[in-house]
Amino acid sequence: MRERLADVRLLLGVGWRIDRRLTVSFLGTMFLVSIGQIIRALWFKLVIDAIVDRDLRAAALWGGVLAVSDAARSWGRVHSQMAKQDVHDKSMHFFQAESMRLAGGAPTIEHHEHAEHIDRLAVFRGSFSQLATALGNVVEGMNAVVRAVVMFALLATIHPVLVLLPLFALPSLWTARIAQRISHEGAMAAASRSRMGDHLWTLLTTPGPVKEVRVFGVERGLRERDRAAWADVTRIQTRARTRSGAVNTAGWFVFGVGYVATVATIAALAIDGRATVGDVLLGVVLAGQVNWQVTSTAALVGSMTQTFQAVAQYRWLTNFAAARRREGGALPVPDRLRGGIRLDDVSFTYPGTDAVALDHVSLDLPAGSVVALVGENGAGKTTVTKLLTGLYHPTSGEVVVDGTRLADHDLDEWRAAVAVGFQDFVKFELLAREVVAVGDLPRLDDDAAVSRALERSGSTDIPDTLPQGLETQLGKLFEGGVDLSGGQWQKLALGRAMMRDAPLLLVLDEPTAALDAPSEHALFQRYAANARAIGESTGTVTVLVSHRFSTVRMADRIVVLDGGRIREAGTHDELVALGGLYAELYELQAQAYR
Amino acid sequence: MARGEIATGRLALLRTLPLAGPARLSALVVLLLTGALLPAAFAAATGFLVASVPDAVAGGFDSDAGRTLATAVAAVGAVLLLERLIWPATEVVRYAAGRRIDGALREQILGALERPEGIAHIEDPSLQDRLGLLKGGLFGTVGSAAVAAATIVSRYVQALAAVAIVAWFNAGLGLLVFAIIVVIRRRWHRAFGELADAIIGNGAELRRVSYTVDLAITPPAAKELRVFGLLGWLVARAEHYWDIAIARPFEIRRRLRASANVELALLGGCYLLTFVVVTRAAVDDGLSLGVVAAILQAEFTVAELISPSTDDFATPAGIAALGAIRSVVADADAAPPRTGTHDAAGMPAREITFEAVTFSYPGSDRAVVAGLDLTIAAGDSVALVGLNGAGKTTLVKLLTGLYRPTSGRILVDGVPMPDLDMSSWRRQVGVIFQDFVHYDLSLRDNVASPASDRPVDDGAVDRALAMAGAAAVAEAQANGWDTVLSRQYEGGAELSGGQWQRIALARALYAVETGSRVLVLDEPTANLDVRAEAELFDAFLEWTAGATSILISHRFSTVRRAGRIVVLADGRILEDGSHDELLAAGGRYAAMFRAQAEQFADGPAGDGRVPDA
Repeated sequence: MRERLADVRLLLGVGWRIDRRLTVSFLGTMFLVSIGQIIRALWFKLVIDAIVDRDLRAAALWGGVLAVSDAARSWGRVHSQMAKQDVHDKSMHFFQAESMRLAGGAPTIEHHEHAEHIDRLAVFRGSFSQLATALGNVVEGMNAVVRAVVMFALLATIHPVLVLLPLFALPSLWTARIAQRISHEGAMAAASRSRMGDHLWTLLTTPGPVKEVRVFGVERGLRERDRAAWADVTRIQTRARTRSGAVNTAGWFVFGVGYVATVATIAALAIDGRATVGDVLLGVVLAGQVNWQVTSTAALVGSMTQTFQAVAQYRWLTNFAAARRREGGALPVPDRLRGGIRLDDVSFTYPGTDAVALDHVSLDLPAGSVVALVGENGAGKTTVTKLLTGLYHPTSGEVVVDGTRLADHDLDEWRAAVAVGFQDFVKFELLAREVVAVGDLPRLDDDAAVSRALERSGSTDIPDTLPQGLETQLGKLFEGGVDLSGGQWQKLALGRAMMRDAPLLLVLDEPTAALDAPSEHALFQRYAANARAIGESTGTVTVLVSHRFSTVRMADRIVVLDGGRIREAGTHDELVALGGLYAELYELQAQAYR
Repeated sequence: MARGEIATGRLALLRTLPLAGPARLSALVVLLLTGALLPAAFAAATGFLVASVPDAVAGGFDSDAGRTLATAVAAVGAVLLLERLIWPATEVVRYAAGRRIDGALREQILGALERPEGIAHIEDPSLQDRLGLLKGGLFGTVGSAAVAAATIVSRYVQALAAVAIVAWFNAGLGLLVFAIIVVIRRRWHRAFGELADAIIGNGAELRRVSYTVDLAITPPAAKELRVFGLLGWLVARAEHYWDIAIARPFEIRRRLRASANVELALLGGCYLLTFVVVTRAAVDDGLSLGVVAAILQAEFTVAELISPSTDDFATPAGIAALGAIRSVVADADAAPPRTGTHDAAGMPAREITFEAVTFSYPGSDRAVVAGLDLTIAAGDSVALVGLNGAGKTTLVKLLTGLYRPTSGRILVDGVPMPDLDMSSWRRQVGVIFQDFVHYDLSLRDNVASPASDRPVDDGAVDRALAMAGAAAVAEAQANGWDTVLSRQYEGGAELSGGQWQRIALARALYAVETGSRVLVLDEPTANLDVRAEAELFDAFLEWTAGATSILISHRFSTVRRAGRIVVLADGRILEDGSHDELLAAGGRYAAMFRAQAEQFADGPAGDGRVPDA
């Protein structure tokens, strides 16, 4: 209960932060609607009693009050509905921006690679609409309480025993919970069939998959499966809804008995002369409202449950982010590397797994050198690049930059001095210029810098193939967007890695997998020259991960990783002479060119 | 959306109701109508009850009046219980009917998309925008909108019943109340149309917001976001697009509030008039208490009716979605249908010929294929090499009839492609596309492809798995071939990129095993490492024995094994010959190959610098 109150406080606080005038007017108009609904019965009774007393003035007065009250309620309803949507939109944005800051602000990325955290984040991602309606639900909940109090008070004015009427409504609260559970189970049971339907729909209606669907002639087969999946979802859900509706109705019937008893009691009181005609009317109308009130409260309880779940997700993310706020590290990053970067007895295990990704690895990356990491899938190459860029902290051991622990440096500053081309690079659906320039945000609009980066990455041909050159929207998501081939996307990603002019560390993780042979060849000729040129002035360390030995052999030093350990290290010639794993893999590839 | 559009659109929505099937539709109509009459019935029963109290007070419990009172109490209770019964039943029927309608429309769309011979209508970028409207999102689907439209009709019935009670007392007053209801409701409808337009119209901005938010909070961009320090920029961007997206809905709602003030003042005046007239009639002219109570209760019903409901929001979005469906179906019907009748079984027996084939994608001037002449003899093994964007994948699309050439023609054994029965021709071709499909289905279906008209040949699956080097992958699965290849399903398994590549290879080889005569491999080893690639291609000739094979790759290690290599540039053939012939010719292929080979040249790598080519 205390948690719930804290949630309510949190949500009202959000309302206060996003727009206090709006929030206040939302609360006010909602209140007007709620009270108007209940109090109407009282005016109604007073009109009837005045008529029975043949008191024209009183009848006209209460009739007028009733009219004004009804109109005010209608007015309040329109205003509160509009305010509710305004609040919805504003809180939606508040939660979106907050979650960007929270999830994106954590310095490391374990929450993006740890299965359990990925799932929780995905759930959270799906709860924005819940959070956006949360404030509205809470306000409605508060109003339900107010309505209940007013209603009890009015019923008690007829006869104290009538306060017992809501007791008849208790079973319907209980059945509402059961009904809620039944619909929830129905939704869960239908979820995987529903997911299957979405999958099949995608296969049949989107450009990529549809080629293969056509050529293999499986349209019919997929459509039949889709029809079956759709029918299954309908069947499961209809059944669940029917059952939950029946359970709800049973609860309401219990209340119906109480209702008839109430009306009969008041009628009996009236015959005894202990209640007026107006009281009978008040009873009929109010008791009907009790029923409605209980129904809507039950529905509200359902959506409040979801609301609080969504708030719980938000709190989880908040706490998660707070726990990962950067610790230590404020030393400035040097302008240039003198000694180099060193992995000092580094071990690493991915959070949530047992497998050791790196096992006591010590590795020197001298300033100005090009070091290639080689090894089969899962050998630990990419893990090394993640530790070097501070995306993870080593489980044990240290990354050392020019003799100082990386952990003692300011992480943001370090990253500003690093440039990376990832294997699983992002296909940013932005303008072509932005796709490259985000590699160095301060120069987002610097066309000259973008051109230089494209030149370095051998991608100068790409703007010419685009209808609006560098100002072309890329991707398929947005109107006018041009989708690129895998190789073209990769060239732009490489351009992004080349945006920073003189990084201290440049990591190229499989940067040319999708490029054709001439592009790759040209690229590395140019790159090698450039890497050494900037290496001389700033001591840039280049780390290269590749499966292509034509690329690898030009490195100053080649490190062969195997199962999280360094298996061999040396120059190309040394490793070939050694006749180990490197020599074997190299020979395999070289055969193609003899 | 203009008022006229809403009117015709609502009619179009109502016309989809029969798709729910006769049983659901009649249940819906009966429940909605009964539900619509109950509030008036409650008002009448309340009046009856109030009217019978004074006599009962005079006569006591055991008089006729007392029994009438008891009947009245029972009547009020019965109406209330009936309402409680009808409401949940209506909810269930609304859901079931809406689902049925959506299911029927879904089949209409998929059926229409399937009819044309090619896929140009599916690759049309606007298709995704239109299909996006169908998902319903904020307002629900077409089916739920159709049901909502029916509910709105029933609300008018409800209003008429309430008005009838007022009109029974005073026809003029009844008419006035009804007129005000109609005026206010019409304005609401227009406003909702505008709001829905605004919300549908800002879809592009909302998509941008949602894309930007995802960049910050989902895994794919996590690394670059941090390394390049993009968070602040992304937040500002999301804010920017959000502000654009919500500006119009906010403005519309602001105006709505202002105009609602006027209309509701009008309504208040009408109430005031009614109540004064009624109470006067009661006090001065002895109008029955029951009638007074019934009228006051009926006015309450009216107040409920004029307020906007979720149904009002659902209809305009449903109208837009229905329009989208109609245009998707119309576009598909306008595309060339499957007309060829020549059975392609056993083809190609001689050759496949491209004759002066030129092709540009719809809406583009750039010729991806430009005057291509190419003959592939049956049983040959041909590799296509080219620079990125040289139209290799487009050739596969042309060969499989997914697109027709802009000019020129393609012949199989001398039969022009449009004359071929496309289904039978496609059955002759087994393809592994670069972006092959990951079916969320069983491993068996992933190899045999989920066709419905051909039984799965387990023997062929077994052979295909073995050839593709995927037998070990299959054996490792808990449920063997029945394992669903996606973690999203219970008992499902997730495969790595390399494992998927082998499954896709097995799929193409299964097609060959079960009768396909042409094998097309588009970058089949992109996800495999050196060792795996070498192993696979040692078996390449074995797979392709007897079949015609077309191999697309930029890896020389792969390409050189083909008997014939065709080098493409700018949409036409640059060089054509065996590996040795092309090397001897000293053209583009030779230059590309030597550039690579030089980097593997024996001898000291020396300082590691790349030798100048």
